[in-house]
Amino acid sequence: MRLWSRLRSWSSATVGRSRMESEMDAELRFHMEVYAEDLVRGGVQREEAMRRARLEFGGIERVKEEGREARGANLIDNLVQDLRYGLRMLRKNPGFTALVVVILGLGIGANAAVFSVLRSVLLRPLPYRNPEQLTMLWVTDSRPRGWAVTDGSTSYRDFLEWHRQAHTFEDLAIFYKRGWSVVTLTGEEPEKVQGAFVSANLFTLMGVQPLLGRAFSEENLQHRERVVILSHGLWQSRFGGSLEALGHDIYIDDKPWRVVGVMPPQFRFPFLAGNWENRVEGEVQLWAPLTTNPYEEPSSSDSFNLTRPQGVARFQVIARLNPNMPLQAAQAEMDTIAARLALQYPDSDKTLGVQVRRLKEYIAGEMRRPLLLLSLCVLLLLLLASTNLATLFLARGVARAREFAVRAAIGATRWRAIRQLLTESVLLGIIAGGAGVLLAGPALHLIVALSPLTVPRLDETRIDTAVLVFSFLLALLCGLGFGLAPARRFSAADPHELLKTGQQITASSTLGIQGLLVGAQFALSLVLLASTSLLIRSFVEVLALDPGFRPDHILTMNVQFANPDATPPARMDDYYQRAWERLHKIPGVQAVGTVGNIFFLEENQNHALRQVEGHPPEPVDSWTPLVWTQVSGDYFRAMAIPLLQGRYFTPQDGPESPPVAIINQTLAKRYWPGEDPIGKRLKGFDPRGRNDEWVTVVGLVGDMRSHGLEREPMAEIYEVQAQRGEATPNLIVRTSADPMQLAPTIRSTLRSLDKSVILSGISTMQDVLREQTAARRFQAWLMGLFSALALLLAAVGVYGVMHYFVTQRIPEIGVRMAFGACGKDIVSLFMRRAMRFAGAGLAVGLVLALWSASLIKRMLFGVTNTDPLSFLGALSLLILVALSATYFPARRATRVDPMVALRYE
Amino acid sequence: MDKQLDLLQGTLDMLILKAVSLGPLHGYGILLRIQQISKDRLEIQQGSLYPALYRLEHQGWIASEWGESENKRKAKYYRLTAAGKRKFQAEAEKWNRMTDVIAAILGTKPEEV
Repeated sequence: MRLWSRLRSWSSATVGRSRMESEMDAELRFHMEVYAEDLVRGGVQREEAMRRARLEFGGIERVKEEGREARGANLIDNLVQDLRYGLRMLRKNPGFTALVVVILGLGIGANAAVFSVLRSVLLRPLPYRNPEQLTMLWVTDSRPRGWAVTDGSTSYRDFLEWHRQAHTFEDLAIFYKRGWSVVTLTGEEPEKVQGAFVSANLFTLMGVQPLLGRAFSEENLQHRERVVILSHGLWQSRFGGSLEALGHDIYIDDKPWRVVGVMPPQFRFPFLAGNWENRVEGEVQLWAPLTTNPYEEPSSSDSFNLTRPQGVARFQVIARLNPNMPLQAAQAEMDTIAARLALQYPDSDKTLGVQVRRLKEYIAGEMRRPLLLLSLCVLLLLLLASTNLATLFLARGVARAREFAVRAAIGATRWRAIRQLLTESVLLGIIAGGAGVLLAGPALHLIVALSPLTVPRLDETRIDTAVLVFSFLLALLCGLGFGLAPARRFSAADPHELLKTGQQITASSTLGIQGLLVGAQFALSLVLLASTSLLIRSFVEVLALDPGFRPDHILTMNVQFANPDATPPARMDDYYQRAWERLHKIPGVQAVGTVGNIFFLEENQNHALRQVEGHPPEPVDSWTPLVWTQVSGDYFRAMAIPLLQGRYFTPQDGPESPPVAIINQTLAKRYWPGEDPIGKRLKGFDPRGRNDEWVTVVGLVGDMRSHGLEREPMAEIYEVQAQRGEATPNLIVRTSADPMQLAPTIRSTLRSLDKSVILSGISTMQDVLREQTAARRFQAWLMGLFSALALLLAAVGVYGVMHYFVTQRIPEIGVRMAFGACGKDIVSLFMRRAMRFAGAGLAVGLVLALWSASLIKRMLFGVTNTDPLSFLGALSLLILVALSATYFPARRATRVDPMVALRYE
Repeated sequence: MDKQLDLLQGTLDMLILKAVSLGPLHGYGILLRIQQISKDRLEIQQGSLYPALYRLEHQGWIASEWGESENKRKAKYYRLTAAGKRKFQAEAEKWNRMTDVIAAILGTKPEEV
């Protein structure tokens, strides 16, 4: 109440300044007039009465001034005065002002952009009802790799047990994503769309209702009805946002599915995790009842797929905690249930546990670390910028020492001087903050555009109020920070000494604070520079890797049949055969082949072979990654994977002939080290051939880095598609000219053979490989940019400090030169002083840089985290910067004419 | 007139609060009332009243409002707020205790020491 009245009175005194003045006037006038009237009534002459009233009232202006003071109106007056003066100072030094605004604006802009990313990815609540209650139930498995469940999925049977037994949850729902569902709409070209199969209660559990239509009912699930709910995006693109979409059919794999609902635009589930794979697959665009997966074998039981003895682990479970239920309680309950299930179903569940994870943490998952690292980098950059500005302000303060001495001499209090300096620096800070916010928008676009990963919720990022407040606070803090050091220093100086000489403040102790700041800048720059050079060296190492094939002049695309699981192998084989023949006839095409998967970028499981001729069975713990790859046509020639021994596949390797395989070097080394592998025989865990025949090795090819560029090649066995019968959707075409020029011809040729094939992902092999290095490229660019800025700041900082230092010591230089010091002495004197601080900073920085390099150890490739080249390089670059930034100001000192210098005083 | 006393430091606030506690008054009215109650024994510098009024208003002890004076003129009226009432009571009590103590000390006879 009292605070309120004080605020009200203060605001009426400041905002309503003119009104307060006129009211005060009226009130005082009223007083004197009434008093005069009283006097008149007492018999005094009118004019005499007025005179006495004024006299007895006292000094009216003093009363008014005291009144203003009492209401706090002067506070604003002083502030306005300071601001005006500050603005005048800034205008008077446009170069200095621009430098500060640019330096600080960059720092604040970068921070605002990164903060807004951080906010939307990690901080902002998920767009579901009471999102803090949502958790994922993630299965853990203690079995060795190769057998273990690694994707956290569970079986339907276990889900039903959880649902029945768990009481800490309001509800549990189940879903799974189906990679590459195929949607065909009548009369349109087929398109690949990501879909999710969900339980009926999922939407209710998330607390999001469809925008149009309805969610799935239990009947939909029980009767396995082919109904779908569309995403807002799909509804817009395929139905133009028309209300008629409801009740319409869309065609998925040649079968009609009825549209029963459309979700609101902001609804997404499941969220994409941050990895490259998902960037290719895209967001989930439609949802279907859990039981309707056309790829599932039909089951007579209504609780679907329970017929399988142990249930297939494929389902993800989302659960809503009871209100105010702590996570630990739910975790404890799930531990008990998991232990119970392990006893009940020892065959399948003995090694399984359940982890209750908050949905938000699950979604942000992998992005947490890189984002926090990025924030740390930009904060470091801002710290650097502020340190830099502090040195600039200190240096400028030296030049303004006389001004402050005059102010102090004519009665300005110490507090008033501090306030004046702080007003100036905060004003600068806020102007720079405004520039920073303007910069943040483009910076954000740049981050989003360059980001190599699908960062969940990144597209929701924008510059909003919270970001503005954050930037403002940052600007304020910086302004106070770099204003405080000079303010304290110059307000403490003795005005008499200053006025007498104007030089007192430039005693060598000044370089003390400034030197420290310069040292700190060099330390921070070294940290950034060393980390950057480690990351750039890693990037270069990755680029220099031999992928095991020649990626130039290759066109790749994905060729899929509308319903691959229902397409007979013979038809596929026939299509491929005809396609190659036609493609070969296109001028410029050198070799054509197809392959099941080119790259296996996910964490690959360890595998072994069931039987290898002349080789005992391998114990599970010596298993290593191993894949079977189906190829057809001239795959090896198209990729230019070298044949080391034996032969390539030929058209004679057909379904009727004995099964053959080509192996890579890693596999040969694993089973037949030092032996000739040709003619050796093996069997996989799946039966091969018609009667589980032996597969004979007919060729040995070089390793290619199919496990991802940065991972060692893994054991690979190539089979021919004609014998195996699985789809090999990835087309590889080697061309003699620019591969993209042939793309339209190849595309129309393929579609002319079969209208129903779906072509996607048309790109050159070099672009495909570039995707794999995109994260590193992004890192290298970003860190390179940061380091360049840091370097620039450090150079500006040390140059500015030295420049002022030299200017202030011109008399001393004059004396020294008058006594016979030569130019070289002066230069080395100044350089020694400056380098002492730079050197100390670099020593501290080296320790910090080694420590921070150990933090990013996992992000390095091909270099150790103590790589001498990176550290020495960064160190010598900074020393060079320090030397040149001190040399030029120091040399200027030697040009001083001793006579002029001595007279300077 | 020569019997008038100068105001003790810090007591003007209390007197103003007392004056307006009896009903809303304009500045001149407050001056008159204090003089009337004190039977003209106190001398108050007219101008010094206003800074004190503004200070009290700023602190929320009194509130002001424009109204019409007895002779149909616009005047600013001050009245006591609830917070001001509590403040006044506390101040008055403190004052009374103080004067009791001082009076007791001053009234002490030599033989009582």
